Amino acid sequence: MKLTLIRADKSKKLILSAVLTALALILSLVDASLSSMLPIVPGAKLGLANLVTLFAIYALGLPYALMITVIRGTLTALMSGNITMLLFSLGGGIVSVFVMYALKNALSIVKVSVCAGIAHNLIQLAAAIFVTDTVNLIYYAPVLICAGAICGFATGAIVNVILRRLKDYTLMKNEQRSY
Amino acid sequence: MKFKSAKIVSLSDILFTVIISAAGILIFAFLGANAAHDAVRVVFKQDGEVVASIPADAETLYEINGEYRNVFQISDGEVSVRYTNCPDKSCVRMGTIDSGGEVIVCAPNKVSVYIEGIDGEIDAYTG
Repeated sequence: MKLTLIRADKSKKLILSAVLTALALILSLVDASLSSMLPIVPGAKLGLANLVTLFAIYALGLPYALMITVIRGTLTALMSGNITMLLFSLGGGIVSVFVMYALKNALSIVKVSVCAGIAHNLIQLAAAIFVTDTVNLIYYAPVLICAGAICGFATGAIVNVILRRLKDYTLMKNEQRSY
Repeated sequence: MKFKSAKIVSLSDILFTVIISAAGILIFAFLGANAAHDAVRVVFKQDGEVVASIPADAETLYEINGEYRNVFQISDGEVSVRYTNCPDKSCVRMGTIDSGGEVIVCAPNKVSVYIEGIDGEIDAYTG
């Protein structure tokens, strides 16, 4: 799906990415507590922060989406107080941004989101295998693919709605006003 | 493609997701069936090093102290995490493992526990 980026000046985009970063940070904290209440797939997260990343890559473009993801990942790891977690939150996040960027003109939003969700989970699994040096953990990959696909589907559908509503409203129309 | 006329979720999106999830479940079921060996030994790893190997029929608690604390329980050939002070708690939620090849990890603590089965093919992974 091809969409036009928000055509605003740089400072406006920067402010929007700052707000989105804050939102992503809150969402990943909510995600952490929500996910621990769902004992279905331990280690897997709902990926609420991916809502923001997905929105950013369609509305603002790759550099901004990458910036939001890196800052959010670093802050999440710092808040959890564990440097090992940096590898998890950054690795999965950055790879899924690039997956989104690579596929966004070829596939629909929901499919892009599904692929990004799967990539995110698999990279985190790879990080877990690397950190604990336990190759056996690979048997967990199919479950994570499944979880990533379902969560990615939900994320994609939500972002689809958000983008469509915003298209007619504030953000996209800003550039028509005169300052 | 006109954006307004498009549905929120198209049929191909649903099929795409369902097929991938189904493939995941099938592969998991297949691997699960293959991995069903009886438990022989329980191996504990920390920072990639084997720190303990305990017979699976033992009745015991094993504790690993790293950045966090993990207390594992071995009972009736089953292994579970009894306690951790790690905020993530995913190791506790990984529940109980009882057959060869199964793993519990605590990634923030760089700790993993896995069960070695009968035929020793799991040994090949440990390096």
